[in-house]
Amino acid sequence: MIRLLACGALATVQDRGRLGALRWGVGTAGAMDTLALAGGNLLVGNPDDAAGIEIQVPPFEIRFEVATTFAVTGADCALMLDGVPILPWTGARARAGAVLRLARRASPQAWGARSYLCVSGGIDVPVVLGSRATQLRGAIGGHQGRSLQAGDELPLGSPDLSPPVAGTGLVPPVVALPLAVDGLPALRVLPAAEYECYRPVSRAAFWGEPWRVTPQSDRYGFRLSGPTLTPLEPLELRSHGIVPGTIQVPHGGQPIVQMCDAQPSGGYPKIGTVIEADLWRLAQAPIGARIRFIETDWDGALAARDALDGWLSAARRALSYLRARSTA
Amino acid sequence: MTSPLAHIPDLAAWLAASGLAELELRGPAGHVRLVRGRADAVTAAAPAPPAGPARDVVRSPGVGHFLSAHPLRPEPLVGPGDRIAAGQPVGLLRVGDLLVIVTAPVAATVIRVVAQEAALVGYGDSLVEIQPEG
Repeated sequence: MIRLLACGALATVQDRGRLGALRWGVGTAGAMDTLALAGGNLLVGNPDDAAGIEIQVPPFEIRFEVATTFAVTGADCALMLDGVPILPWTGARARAGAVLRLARRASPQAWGARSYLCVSGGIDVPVVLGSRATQLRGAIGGHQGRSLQAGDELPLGSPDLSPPVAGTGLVPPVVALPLAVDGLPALRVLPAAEYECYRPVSRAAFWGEPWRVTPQSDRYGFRLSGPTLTPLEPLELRSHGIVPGTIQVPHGGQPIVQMCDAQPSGGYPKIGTVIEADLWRLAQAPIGARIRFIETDWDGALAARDALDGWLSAARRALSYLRARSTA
Repeated sequence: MTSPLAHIPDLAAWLAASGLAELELRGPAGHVRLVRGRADAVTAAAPAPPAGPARDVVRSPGVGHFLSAHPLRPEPLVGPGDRIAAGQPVGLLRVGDLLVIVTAPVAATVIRVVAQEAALVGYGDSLVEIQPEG
């Protein structure tokens, strides 16, 4: 069990998402940066579907009530285990009673917007509709369907695998798999159903200009500001199914990228869709950051997904090798 | 148990073939340290600043490329004069996409980081000089 001693706003239990539930009108929820969660689960020897804690606003402080292995991945943050600094993206051993504290780093350039705490065995909250992910809108999943608060006690599952040697880390994917245009983080986008309905100058600006992440950006969606996107003629659509990554354009001409807590349907025109393999990059763009879009196609989107899978497979192999060597 | 002294010819041959600069074996029966090109190494070494008797060095736990900073951070983990706790990270070895964390064995003050950034280091290479707290 772990006990929360301090907790900023909107920390939630998340796994890789309530996959396959959109057909029931239930959103996917899950970690905004599923790659960071997957990396953390690898570092502590967890299966891919184990749940961790998504931390959006430090400080965050917990006490481990049992000795265990843990890792904090995703956004960089200042980490102290019993008062001794430790590193992100690294497996570490905690004794029973140890206190882990996450704080914002003094450097204003600290990378990322969301950190993930993974603990060996996973956060063992009940599975709801096939997932442990917290869906705040429906108040289901996670810990009592809500965001975490100080005083909460979270059960841990029993570890399936012996975790890798503590003191081993992963090169974060933002370093290993960088993607930028003119020095700005970039996302690959598939043109969507209404793309051709926009004026050519708007289409050119969509790819050619930077977009700023506005303060109206959260787990539901990221509202971006930039050049006004104008359709050739007014568009009226009936509500239809949408997925995380869908880029809608409301009447004001400023796009919204749907994220993992998005509702499963909407009626705004869609200019594009951020590919699944790049959603983690947007999830880690803090409010005020500027991003760029890169046009891609179906094959490009699949190649990007293969690259992520390749990174995870290589990390899994390397950590398994270390584990085998340390127990030999 | 045979004495390590009996194996010095073999050890010297391995050392010569390996490209390693130094080989050190410690065990209950004794302690052997073989250094290749000793005369060169001594003349090439920078004159050491005067130090207290307890100066120590953090050595590489394995093979990898030495990093003084975490890949997400521009600033080095430690610098001269920093007071560090036992177990605190002082450097990293990058092996592909893995990072091996090098930690301080004891509470200490950092004297200097001796390993070159991104240099390939091997087991036992000196990485960071420290002055353990007395």
